[in-house]
Amino acid sequence: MESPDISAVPVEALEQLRLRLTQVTHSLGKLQAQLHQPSLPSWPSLQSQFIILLTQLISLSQTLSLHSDILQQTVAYPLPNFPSRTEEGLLTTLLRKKPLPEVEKWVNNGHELAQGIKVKDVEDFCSWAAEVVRDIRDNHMWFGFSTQRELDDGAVAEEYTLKAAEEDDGGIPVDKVLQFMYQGREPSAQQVIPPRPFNAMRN
Amino acid sequence: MTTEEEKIYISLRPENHTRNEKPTIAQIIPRIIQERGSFIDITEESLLHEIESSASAEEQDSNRLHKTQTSDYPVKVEPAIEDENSENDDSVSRTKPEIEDAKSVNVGDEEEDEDEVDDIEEDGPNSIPIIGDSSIKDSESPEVAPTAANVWCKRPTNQEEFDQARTELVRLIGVAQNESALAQDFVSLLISCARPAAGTTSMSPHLKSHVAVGSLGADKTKSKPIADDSLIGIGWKIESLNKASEAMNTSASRLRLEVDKEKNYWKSIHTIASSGEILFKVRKGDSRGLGIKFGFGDAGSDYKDKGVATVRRRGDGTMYFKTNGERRSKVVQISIYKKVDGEVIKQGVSSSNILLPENDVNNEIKNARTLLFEEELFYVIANEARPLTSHRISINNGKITVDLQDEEIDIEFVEPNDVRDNDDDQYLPNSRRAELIATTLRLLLNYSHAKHLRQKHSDPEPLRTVDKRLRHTSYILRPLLCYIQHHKILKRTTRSLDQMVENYKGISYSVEKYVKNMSYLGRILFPPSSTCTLSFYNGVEVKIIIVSTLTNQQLPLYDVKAYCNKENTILSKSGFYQLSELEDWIKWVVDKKPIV
Repeated sequence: MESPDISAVPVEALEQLRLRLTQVTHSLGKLQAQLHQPSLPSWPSLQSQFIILLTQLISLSQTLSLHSDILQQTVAYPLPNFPSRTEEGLLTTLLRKKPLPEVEKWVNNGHELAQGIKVKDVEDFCSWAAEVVRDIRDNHMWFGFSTQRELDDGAVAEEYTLKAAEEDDGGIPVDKVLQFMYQGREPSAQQVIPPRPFNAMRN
Repeated sequence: MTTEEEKIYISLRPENHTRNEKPTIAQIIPRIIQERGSFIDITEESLLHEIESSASAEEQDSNRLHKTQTSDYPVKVEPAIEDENSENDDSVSRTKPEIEDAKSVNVGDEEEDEDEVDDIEEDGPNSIPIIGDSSIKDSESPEVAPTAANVWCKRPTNQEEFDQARTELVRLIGVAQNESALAQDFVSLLISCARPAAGTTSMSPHLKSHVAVGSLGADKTKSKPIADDSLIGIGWKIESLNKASEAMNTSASRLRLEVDKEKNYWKSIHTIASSGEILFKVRKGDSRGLGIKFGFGDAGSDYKDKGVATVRRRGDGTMYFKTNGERRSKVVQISIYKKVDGEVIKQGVSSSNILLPENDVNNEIKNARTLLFEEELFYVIANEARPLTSHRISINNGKITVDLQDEEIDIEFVEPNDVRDNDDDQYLPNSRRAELIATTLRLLLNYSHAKHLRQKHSDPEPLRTVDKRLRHTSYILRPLLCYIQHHKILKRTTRSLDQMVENYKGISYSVEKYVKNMSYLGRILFPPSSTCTLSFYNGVEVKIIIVSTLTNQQLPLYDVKAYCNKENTILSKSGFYQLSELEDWIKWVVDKKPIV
């Protein structure tokens, strides 16, 4: 059988896509398996999984847009050696281009929401917003125990002090009493009487 | 056998069914379980909730949100399971809130569960916490285990809703996974015509088994690429921005509440730290936080419980501390009984009301310390009392009884009475004595701690030391008892000596009570030892050293010596254990006197 002409297949682009898709599929599969378990994984681990997934999706969509020209011009079709008679369902599934109903609804929603909005306005807004966010971020301290304003005003954080036994209501403070009981140090006297051992009883 | 009248007639017709219309409880329960699941998750609170929510589910939701909302900002709440029109990356962002909620239910370890049960107990008298129930905390403590991220969305109000959200999340991820796998298969199959090896590695087994490798081809078309519809992107951007702003608003208000709570919490921590409590960091497995040392572990106590607790924060921001093990409540109480003709009469009771009112955490810590101390005190006394059965000290029914012939001292471990059960106890003649005994025992345990600590700080003994006597043993009961006992013996002896002085002319005696050794705890740290000196007119002197049988010395109770000062000779030297022996001996010395 004559081998088909495959020169038009965008191998480079597909190879890159294939790698990204493998990653995404793998991550999704893993997540799915975890969610099926009776006890959910811990929140931080789920969160980090999502972050990984998002990064992979971003990289996938970047790859797609990088090769969008060539991919849009390419049309895939089954070759004669595809068992189209028996696997027709599989073929249509593979070559399906129409988004899922859910996705289509979402696309339409987005379209409706954006009615009457100019692209340039959005771009201006985004660059303005990015700047504002940067400014706000720079104006904050993200560490330490005092706010920037407090530091500017020269406020000193309250120091932790041990102010036990300072209250003097005429009597002997509990601390001193305990010290006497424990160490034999009389509240007024500075001198420490060395305690004598009880096993003097044995002599 | 029954008579004709008593025979029971049984009808063959089916029984009247109206009587059985109301099913028995045995029928109801399985039905409920089948419909509603196990009873374990049901609380009074949740049932009330259910009734309420079935009436106005919508209203309730909005109320709940307003509760946690401080700003006037109207926040639109979307149920987590709305918006199903998402594919890959939307499902990711959409799932976040659901995960948040999921976390609050399942991540908490057992301890947290308990905490939350505690919280609920304080929330209202109506709530009945059930151990192991995870739905309670969602329904009743919306402020529990709050994290800033928690505010993404409203929390599910019960287990059912949570399960729903989880199922939805699983479904969406499943869809995404399916789509992604399809795309992967498609790309792999397409690439396999050029690079069969690379393509087959990433193909699904199903595809591999049904379709030949390299059976897809592709060609370029001359048609112009379709322009992107930038409006969709903008729409999505608007949608996401709205959501982000909502989320940030909720987070901000949540954070504000959180800050107040944290402030409250750290303020109480500060109060406690400034009052001299020892706080330390806990880094043990998953539990991180602050610990507090309220016990005597560092002060020389080698009791099994070192008095370490973890400091926790309640849902409302107030702090509390959690000891491991049961909550203690008992204290040591001393009772004194007098024995008259075989009858036992209560003579005095020490106060058991030594706890502070638990109106703040500081007092709670102090009480915990007191209770731990009391527990150790009783434990140590009981341990000391066990080998002293030969000294008429017995332990019965958790009560240590010291039999002192004419009186009896009971040491008990009892629940303190908030109000003295009868005020008469206070005015019993020996109540003050009982109080003093209790105080002495406590002081001696303190001293024992101090001694042990010193011992730990001193150089260790050589390993092969034969003398094990210096090992840590507590002297708490013995010092006290041997003085009480000594006092009684001395009293008896002097009475007998008084009689003797009357009977024999020319004898005088003097008593030197106890020993002159004194420490800061008085004489109690030294064994009692009194000396009686009898002088005869002719210069013969008799010295009697009286000790106590409770000290572990090898001395006899009465160590006696008769000597003549003039001739500097010892006439007799001996030791006795009985008063009668002593009396006989003195008589003997008196009779022997003329020989000298």
